[in-house]
Amino acid sequence: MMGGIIFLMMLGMPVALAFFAINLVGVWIFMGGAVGIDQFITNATASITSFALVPVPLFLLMGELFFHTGLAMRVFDALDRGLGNMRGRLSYLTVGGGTLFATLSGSSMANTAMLGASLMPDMLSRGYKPKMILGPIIATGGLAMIIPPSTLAVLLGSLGRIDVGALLIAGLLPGLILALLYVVVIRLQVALDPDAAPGDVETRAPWPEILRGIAIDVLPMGLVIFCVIGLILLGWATPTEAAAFGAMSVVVLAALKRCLTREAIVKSLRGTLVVSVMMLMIILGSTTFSQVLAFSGASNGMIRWATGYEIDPYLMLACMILVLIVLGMFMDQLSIMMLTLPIFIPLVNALGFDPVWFGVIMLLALELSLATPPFGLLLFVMVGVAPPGTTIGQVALAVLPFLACSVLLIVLMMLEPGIALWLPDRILN
Amino acid sequence: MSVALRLYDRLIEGLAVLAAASFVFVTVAIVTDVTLRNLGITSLIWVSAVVEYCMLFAAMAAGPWLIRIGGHVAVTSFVDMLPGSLRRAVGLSVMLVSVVILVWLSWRAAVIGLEEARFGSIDMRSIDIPGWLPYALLSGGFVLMAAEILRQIGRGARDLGSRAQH
Amino acid sequence: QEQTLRAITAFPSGLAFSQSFLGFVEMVNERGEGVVQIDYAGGPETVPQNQQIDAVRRGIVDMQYGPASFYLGRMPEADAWVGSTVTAMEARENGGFEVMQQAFSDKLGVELLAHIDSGVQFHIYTLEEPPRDAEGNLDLDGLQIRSQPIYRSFFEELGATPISVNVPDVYTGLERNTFDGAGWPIVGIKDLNWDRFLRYRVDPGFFQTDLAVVVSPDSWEQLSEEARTLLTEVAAEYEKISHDNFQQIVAETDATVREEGMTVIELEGAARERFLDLAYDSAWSRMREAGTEHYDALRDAYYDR
Ligand code: NA
Ligand code: NA
Repeated sequence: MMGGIIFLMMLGMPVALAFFAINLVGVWIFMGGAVGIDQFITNATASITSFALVPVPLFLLMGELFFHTGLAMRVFDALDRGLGNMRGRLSYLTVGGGTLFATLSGSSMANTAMLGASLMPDMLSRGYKPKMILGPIIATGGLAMIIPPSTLAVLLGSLGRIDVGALLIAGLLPGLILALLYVVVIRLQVALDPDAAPGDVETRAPWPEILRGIAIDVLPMGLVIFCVIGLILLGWATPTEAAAFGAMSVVVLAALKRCLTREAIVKSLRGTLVVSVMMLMIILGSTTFSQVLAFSGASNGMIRWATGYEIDPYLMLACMILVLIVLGMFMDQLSIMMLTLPIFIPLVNALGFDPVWFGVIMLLALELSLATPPFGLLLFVMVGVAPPGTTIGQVALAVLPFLACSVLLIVLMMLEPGIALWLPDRILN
Repeated sequence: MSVALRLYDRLIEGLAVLAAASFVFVTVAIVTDVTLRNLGITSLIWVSAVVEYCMLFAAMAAGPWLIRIGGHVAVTSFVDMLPGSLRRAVGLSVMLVSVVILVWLSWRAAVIGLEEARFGSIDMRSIDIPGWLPYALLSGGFVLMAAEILRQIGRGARDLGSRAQH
Repeated sequence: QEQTLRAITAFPSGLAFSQSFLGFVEMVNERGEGVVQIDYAGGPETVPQNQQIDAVRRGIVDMQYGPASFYLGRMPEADAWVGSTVTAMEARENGGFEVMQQAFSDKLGVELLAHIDSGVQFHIYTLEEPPRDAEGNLDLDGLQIRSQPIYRSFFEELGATPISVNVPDVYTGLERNTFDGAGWPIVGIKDLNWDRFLRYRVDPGFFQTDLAVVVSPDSWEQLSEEARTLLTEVAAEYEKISHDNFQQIVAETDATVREEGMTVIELEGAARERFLDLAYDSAWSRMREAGTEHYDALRDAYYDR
């Protein structure tokens, strides 16, 4: 089935339709013929009528409005003047801004889409190479599910009977370390390939000008941040609902700054429509694909095979991570968790690992899987917002060094569990 | 261009506009609900169910338009390496297979939807939603996507690759 | 020769309710060696929760376990279980179960085998002490309580504003006082860690679990007489075993949450009766309004307050 999808995708069939086609074959074989097709349609009605998906179009709208009203450009210009002559500064800015947005958003897809929509056009026009744009955006977008609030961490905690509060807090430090590692990667890339990003465009402006820029263009962004994170902290809105306030606040801000033109609104809506509908169609197909695969028993067989031996605890842990990454190549994260947790959690307890620590490692592995070819959903989001002509291959290649950071972090966490456990221990006890 | 075709084109664009409008509606509905709730006035219990259905509606209403503008993500790097005539043949077959799949799905969705309607079943969410509605949306969306692919073939397009401009 | 049934569950396999169903599977497999076996295929990762009954009706899976109220939109009779005050064992004796079998068959197109894990009740949990009026009646005026379709109208009767929040958002919502409480079964409140914030529980509990084991009619037809007899026997036995198991789990959970400092607000006398009347009337009147020919028979069999 995997091969079938790849084959159809290679033939240039839109990804969503390739999923449909293979689902039809899959349900025909595993669900017993024509009734399987009816069940596929029945299952599909459930896949995207979900409140958890609502932040995707809303954060996209927020990002598009940011860009098309020119607000994003102003913020970046102001910060630019502050950073001065620094090669690849917009890539650093992506990591900084993306990490900030990760504390606002619980969904990696929404975060990636938002970053892509608001930052990429600017970076392209300034002559950044794709690897300096696509990699940082996808990687930092993925931080949304490591750094709290994270919908996935809550689901992981409740499905795996791991303390949700501790798991959420435990993600903070590893998330920030990951962001730091991304900065290191960008620095290395600039060092190895100085042409990858422009550096001699501007020199640092005098201080009064920097401060003025920050006051006028950056500080008002506090309204947006308040609308997304403040409303959650005050308990006025749930994390999902806060996304709507985020979009609304950009409209208000743009109106106050008198850059809310009719054209900006139309362009933003159009951009939001293109990417979110493309995403929803792919999710419609891929969710059902995950289900067919779980139903056929293939995924379960693989998990049991990989974890069925008596080996060294850390080798077993590596096996589990590998299972997550392989499953992640063609399944959605919720299905992966439902499938693996009943087997993994008893195993983790038997091996004597801390469940919260394991939870963070699992989140990291799941985050990896979102960006792993051939079916990483974030790759598709990126192709959707990237300029015409960008290929999946380019995107995948750009993201590779950043994926290595996640792997490195997992290894670091094995050596020093405190990276995850220190903070929750301090706060909760 | 015949009147029917012109009407059809209007329909596809109109539906896309409605889909975009539904996102605006979602934003406004959630903001209103949360505001009223926090002011202690009332809670709009219908918001979550309607918003969830807006996701399906938007996907189905804008799906055909997305095909028109080539906005569905596709992997074209491999096909682009094929010689011209073969590439056109592959592209055309992919389009025809897609049409068959979509028409088939649309037909089955319509059959199930009619069954649900006859039975009078309800999807109980934060408010009751008629059980046939999701199937009607799927059926309508799929058939229009198939029609749009045929329309593209009629216009001489030979692949469904990404050529979105945005 | 041995026949095998493939089964799925509405909840992920790790949760307490699914584990109880797996106990049923184990019992069948033990007693049914050489006759009938159940092969567990998985939870909602195989077929989404609310769509599982369609998979059974179409014969894609042979057996399914999950709440009947998920299908209230097709089978109003599910409210007889939600609003029942008798045990599943009593209903099997007094003929109520047979009426339900008829309803499952007519409305959902599946064969009802068992009503297991019954007797677990729902409670209202709140962040702050819930207000009561002079007569001791619960007065939730102006409170926003996270609700689900089965108790939406009951919460409205109590004066609360039912709000709909998806499960992943509930934790943050409670942590941040976004709403004032939630309805949930007595077991499972600790699974999701909501008990960290929900420090008040209103007693008595209301309603009860409505978990059904159903079989696809085609699969049922194809089973040998021996297999059908065996399944029916084990089903009836397991209704009692699982009921008793859960009574123990309920008692343990109750003791634990009290020990951990949850305050239980006990409604007494007339206030208690009024509370329960509102709860059960909301379920039974919903069934009557939806319309069913079985209303009287089900009311007689399942309700004896
Ligand atoms: Na986050
Ligand atoms: Na994936």
